[in-house]
Amino acid sequence: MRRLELMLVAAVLALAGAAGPVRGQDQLTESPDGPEAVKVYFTPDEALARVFAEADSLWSEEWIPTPGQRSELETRLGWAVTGETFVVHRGIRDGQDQGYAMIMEEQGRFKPITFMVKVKADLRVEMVLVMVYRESRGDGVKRQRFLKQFRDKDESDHLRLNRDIVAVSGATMSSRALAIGVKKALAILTLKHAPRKDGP
Amino acid sequence: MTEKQMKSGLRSSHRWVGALAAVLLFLAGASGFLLQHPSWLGPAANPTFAVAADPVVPGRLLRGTHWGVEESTDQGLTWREIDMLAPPTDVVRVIFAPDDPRLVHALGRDALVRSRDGGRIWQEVPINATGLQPDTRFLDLGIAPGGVLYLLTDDGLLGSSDGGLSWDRRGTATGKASRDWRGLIHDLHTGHILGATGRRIAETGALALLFITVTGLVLLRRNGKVFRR
Repeated sequence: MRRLELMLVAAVLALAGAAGPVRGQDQLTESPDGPEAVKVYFTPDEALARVFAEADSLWSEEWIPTPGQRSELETRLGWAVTGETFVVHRGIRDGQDQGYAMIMEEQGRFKPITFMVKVKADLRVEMVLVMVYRESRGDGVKRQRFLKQFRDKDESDHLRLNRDIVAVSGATMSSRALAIGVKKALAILTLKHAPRKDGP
Repeated sequence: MTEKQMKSGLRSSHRWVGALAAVLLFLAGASGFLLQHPSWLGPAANPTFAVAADPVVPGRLLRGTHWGVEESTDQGLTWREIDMLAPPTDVVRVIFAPDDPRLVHALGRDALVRSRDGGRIWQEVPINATGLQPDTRFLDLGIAPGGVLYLLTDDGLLGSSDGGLSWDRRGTATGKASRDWRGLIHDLHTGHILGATGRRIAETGALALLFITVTGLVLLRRNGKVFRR
């Protein structure tokens, strides 16, 4: 019996350690929801190195859509687009395209969430990484269990919350922010890189 | 009560509690699995809360639903969802502006969106009145001639005379109708009520419960001697 008790105590202590904080730099700041920890999971360089791990060169391009492209983008999204320019990162290996990535920032419940959306050369999502999370709760959206729902989605997918993408319980606004950012990135990258249907 | 009876009672309690915990864990696992595959549950319910007729295009209607805004161009016989990047949920009011029939607003419980081209391109209208809590629920919207917006919330009436750029209170704040019990229960359940440490405690407790249930079942199956030396 004593042995069983010791086993239980050891297991609980081990589990407590396993459930500890994830990798990140904590900075205490104030926010409308009280004290919070700004968690930086990836810097831009770290995120790019992660999503383009196999690329031998990286390119960054600032894309300024023409008024026609902006109008097309808004029609595709059904939403007014803010921002004059978009930065698109591209990885190349042996002359072959390794896909594109964008750093997105979308409003969560109180603070913006910064994350990276990486799409393959066929313009389907390969990976989403939460880079900076600034609120005291809802950081469950950083887990791959949630983020992997975006894999292989393309611009034709709606990414509607709780229909196409299941929100993290207790982090609905953060889940929504991620879904919005991924959809926006897909629309931008598809408009910029997909061959035009009415083209030659 | 003799020692034998007490041990027997404890053993019996352990079995029943263990069985109950196993059922609860099974339900949590099964429901979690179904949440990951929502398409298995059939089409999601989508009740309608509001409808508005386009003052310019005959037979065109917009309606507010749980999932956003839908459009009909055949007097309501068929409907299609209007694609928008960030649709509001539980849309309780859809209004065409009396002075500008291309300007349409849709009010969800937690967001106000508008379109200046009759419903093709939308954008969110930030509600930034002083002292308004982030979890304020929106109840109704009115538009007066001249474009003045009136927004009824569960914390009082707001008004905007500049098309939604700025909002001010009209009358006194009513105070929140009720405490956010759902949020409180959620915070208790997840341990968020005690911050990051509380969350770790809750996670540890859940894992310990799982461990105890599994080991209890193993012991029970092996010899039924959980409380015997």
